[in-house]
Amino acid sequence: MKSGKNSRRYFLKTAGSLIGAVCLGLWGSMVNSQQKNISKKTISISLNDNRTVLFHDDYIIINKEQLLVLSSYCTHLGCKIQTFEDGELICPCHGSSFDLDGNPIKGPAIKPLKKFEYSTNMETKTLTIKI
Amino acid sequence: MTFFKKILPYSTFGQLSLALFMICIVSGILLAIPYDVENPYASISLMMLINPAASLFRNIHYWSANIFLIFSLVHIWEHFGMKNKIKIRPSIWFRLSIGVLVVFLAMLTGFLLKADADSLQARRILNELINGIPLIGSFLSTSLLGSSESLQLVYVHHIATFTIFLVIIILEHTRSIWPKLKETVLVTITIIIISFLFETPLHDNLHPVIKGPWYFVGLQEILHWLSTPQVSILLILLFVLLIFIVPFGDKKNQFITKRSLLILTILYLFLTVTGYFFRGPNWQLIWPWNSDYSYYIHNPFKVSGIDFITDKNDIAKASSSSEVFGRIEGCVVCHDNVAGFTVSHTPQTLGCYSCHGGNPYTLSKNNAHRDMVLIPGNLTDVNKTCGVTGCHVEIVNRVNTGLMTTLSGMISVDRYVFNEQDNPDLLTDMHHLGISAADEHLRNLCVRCHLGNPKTETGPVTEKSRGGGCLSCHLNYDSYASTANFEKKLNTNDTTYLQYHASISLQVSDEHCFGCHSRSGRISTNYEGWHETILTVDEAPKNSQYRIVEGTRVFKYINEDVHHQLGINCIDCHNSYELMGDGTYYAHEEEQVNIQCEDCHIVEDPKLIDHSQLDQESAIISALRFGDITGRNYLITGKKNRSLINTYFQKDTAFMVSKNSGKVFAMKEPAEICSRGDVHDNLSCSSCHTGWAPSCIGCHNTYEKEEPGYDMLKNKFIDGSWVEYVGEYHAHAPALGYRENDTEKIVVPVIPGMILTIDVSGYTKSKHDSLIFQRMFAPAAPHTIQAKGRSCKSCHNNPVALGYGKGELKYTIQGAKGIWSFESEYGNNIHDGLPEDSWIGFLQTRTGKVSTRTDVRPFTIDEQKRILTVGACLNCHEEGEQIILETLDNFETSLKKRSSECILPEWENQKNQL
Repeated sequence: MKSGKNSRRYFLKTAGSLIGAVCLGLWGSMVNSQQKNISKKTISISLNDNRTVLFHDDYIIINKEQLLVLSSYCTHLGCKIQTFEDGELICPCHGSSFDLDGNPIKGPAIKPLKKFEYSTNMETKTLTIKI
Repeated sequence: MTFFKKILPYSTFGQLSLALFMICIVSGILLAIPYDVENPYASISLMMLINPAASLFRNIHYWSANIFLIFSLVHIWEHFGMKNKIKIRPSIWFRLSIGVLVVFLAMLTGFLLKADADSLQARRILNELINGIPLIGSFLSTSLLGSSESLQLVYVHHIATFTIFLVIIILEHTRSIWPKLKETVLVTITIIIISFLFETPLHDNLHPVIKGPWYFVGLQEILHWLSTPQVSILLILLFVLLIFIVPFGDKKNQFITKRSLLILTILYLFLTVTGYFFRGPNWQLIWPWNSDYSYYIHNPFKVSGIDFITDKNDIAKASSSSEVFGRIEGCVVCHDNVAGFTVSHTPQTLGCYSCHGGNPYTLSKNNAHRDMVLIPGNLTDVNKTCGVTGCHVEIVNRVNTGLMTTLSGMISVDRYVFNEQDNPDLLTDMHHLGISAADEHLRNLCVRCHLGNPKTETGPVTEKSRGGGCLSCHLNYDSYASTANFEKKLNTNDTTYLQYHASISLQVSDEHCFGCHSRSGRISTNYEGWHETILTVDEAPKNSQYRIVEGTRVFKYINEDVHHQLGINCIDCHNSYELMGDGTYYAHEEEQVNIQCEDCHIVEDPKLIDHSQLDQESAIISALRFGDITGRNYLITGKKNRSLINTYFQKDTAFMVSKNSGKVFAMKEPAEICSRGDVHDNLSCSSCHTGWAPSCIGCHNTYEKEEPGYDMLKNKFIDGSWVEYVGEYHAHAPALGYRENDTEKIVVPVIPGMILTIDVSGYTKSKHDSLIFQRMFAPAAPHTIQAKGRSCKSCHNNPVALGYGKGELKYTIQGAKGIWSFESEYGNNIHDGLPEDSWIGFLQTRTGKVSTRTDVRPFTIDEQKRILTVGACLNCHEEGEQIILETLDNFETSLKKRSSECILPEWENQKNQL
């Protein structure tokens, strides 16, 4: 057995590390469980066929030949896209632009905008989007 | 630095930073009282408005934090440079290096707590950036920002996590948390002065430019170049690592590390300055000499000061005001109970700031009105008024492409007439006007009528109004607002006008169009039946057949357009895409105009769409005008498939609803005669149904250097001007010509648009410049439509219709020979030997520079002969006779059936080729 001083320090360091690791694990578990609480949202709004581009907080509705619901989060860094000019959806933060199918036209974004699933009810004129 | 050393000889930036840190903590604690993390943006706007002390503490908190950041970084550099270095243990130095990161995080979380447009975007970016870190990204972002949109966790980190960490590391390396009294007093005074003078930025949620906090604007620039933005985290960590390793190397390594840090800092500062001062909307660079620079760069540090004198009633009023775009505006405290707005533009919906700018976060009149736009809607500032984010951005951008803004046709034709351009159809813009005889002519006499001409005085749109951007069409004063505005002009101290606001509405009356469109082609006056004369006001007979316009112009009543007679307004036919542009640049009005007679007066099956197929703009306008549009159908135009939102088709009939009056009109099918046979298939409706058209001939233009002039582009008086000496004005049925291009060949009305002389030498002062003479006709849409089309003879036997000008066109039968002859009313012009008012000579034609369009020409000789052959028949037969009607079905067959008494014309040196 080594000297008591060394042994105590070793013990304290080990115990400290273990406690730290356990706390980190608990922290991770807590965050993980918090994240699991976030389920997919389903949003229902009235269907408006007349707007070519309709901006909402999390999504953009594109009315061309076919309805398209795109994420409003720029694929570069998540900025909210809220400008439609000269046929392009423009991100105000870093200058990326996308066409109305969500494909990047100008960088820095290189990935297309995420497309959300949706369903329409023509009787009640509602659009239901899964985000 | 010497000055600094004199005042504070034993101080360091570290000690000053400590003082700033304490000020920041104290002001932050006080700021927590009015700040509401559940409703952050509104609570900040309210404290700026009614709580000057809170506003001051907010400024103190902001400025102390920002200067603390700068001084802390300078302190690190100061530490590197000290000759007798204070030894810091590596573990402490490590935590201090991490502390730099924590200072930025504390600052950034503070920035997020504003919850304005900048902050909300910054939060999204931060979340995405951290989430992108492999393995631990999601864990870190949830731990820092939380999993909901609430700012609660961010607030906790700001006031506790990062602050406590900073307190610990400050204590650890200074062994005291208390700054020295002298430094504290001096720094506090300085911060209070700065805080009194400069407000803390708060985005108005309307401005299109989104920027991070100033210290991350450089990072924003770097991120623009990084498709994998997480690389930026490595750059930040590299910066921290460099700070950490500086004290541990030998002298050479220390030098290299310090130099690397210095170069990186200078580069970063360069990017910061670029981003902060030159980055405009949509990531465009904008320079100080651009007209909108100050707006787009949006200098956030407004020098408005804090007004401690506030009225209790005002505070109560502001507190009870409703939020607009998430904020409470101070404007409504003074400007309450103002009447006159349309529903969509009430202060409760838009506030005042959205249109007028200024400063909504103050109750001080001077501060509120600083930089405000008294008359919003002018194109010079439309991007910060009607065209702000979320309002009419798309339309505003389109307006700039429209002909009423560019004046492309007017400019191109004028340059063509002055022989400065080979083609009258070139696209141009009035902002491209330079210095030349034609351009000066345009500046002196023509370019006042464009939407960009700013409206500079309050008051309704009148016949003297020119331009005014959005206001030129959408401004309306009711009787109360008009009276109040008039009273204000009489007595500037009378403030009752403040109770009445003009409305911005869709009610665009014919009077809105009148100011500009009563000139040149005079469409507005023609439509109402008025023809301009060359009489002076004194010469004008005093009866209802004469009218004075703008106090000097005398008009005579001829006959109004049938649509005007029914009560149809300009906007009933001309839709938003014609009037405000459709995003495409056009050379001439006939290209931009979309509506055609046959869109409403339908011959075959109507072209229809239902409400769900309307484009966004048309649907909104239609709903605003007519309420619920569900189930409605609409006619669409044949030319560009644009919906006519005030039409519908029901029980085999097309209907139009007047946009202003709501009156419903059943739209008749064209008369049977219009579509009988195919001989008139290439005639436009207006070639027959135009009642009359104004024409002017014999105009002379000269430049007179002594003449007091006006530059309509710059809106300023100048010496010297082009002067136009008019010849004669006439009103009669128009001449006809062909518009022939790749897509159509059609007969259209034409008028003598440019029969004139120009003395260019007066402008150029060169004796070698000769007199320019032009004889050009212009295609016209006179807007004098009559229900009954013109008679057969008014075309086939009319020298004016054929382009010969006024005179006697005579068909003489001598034995078996028929001879057409023409004797002109006017003498021949010395420049080209043609009668003054003609387009072509009798049975002659012209090519080349004959029209103000490249695709419009007079009739060829062969075409004239065909027209006159029919004219020969009409010499004997009445036009209602069966034999004449039969010619519409097949002219050749009818000719074969003619009797021996029918003598066809014989053309000189030619046999009848028909």
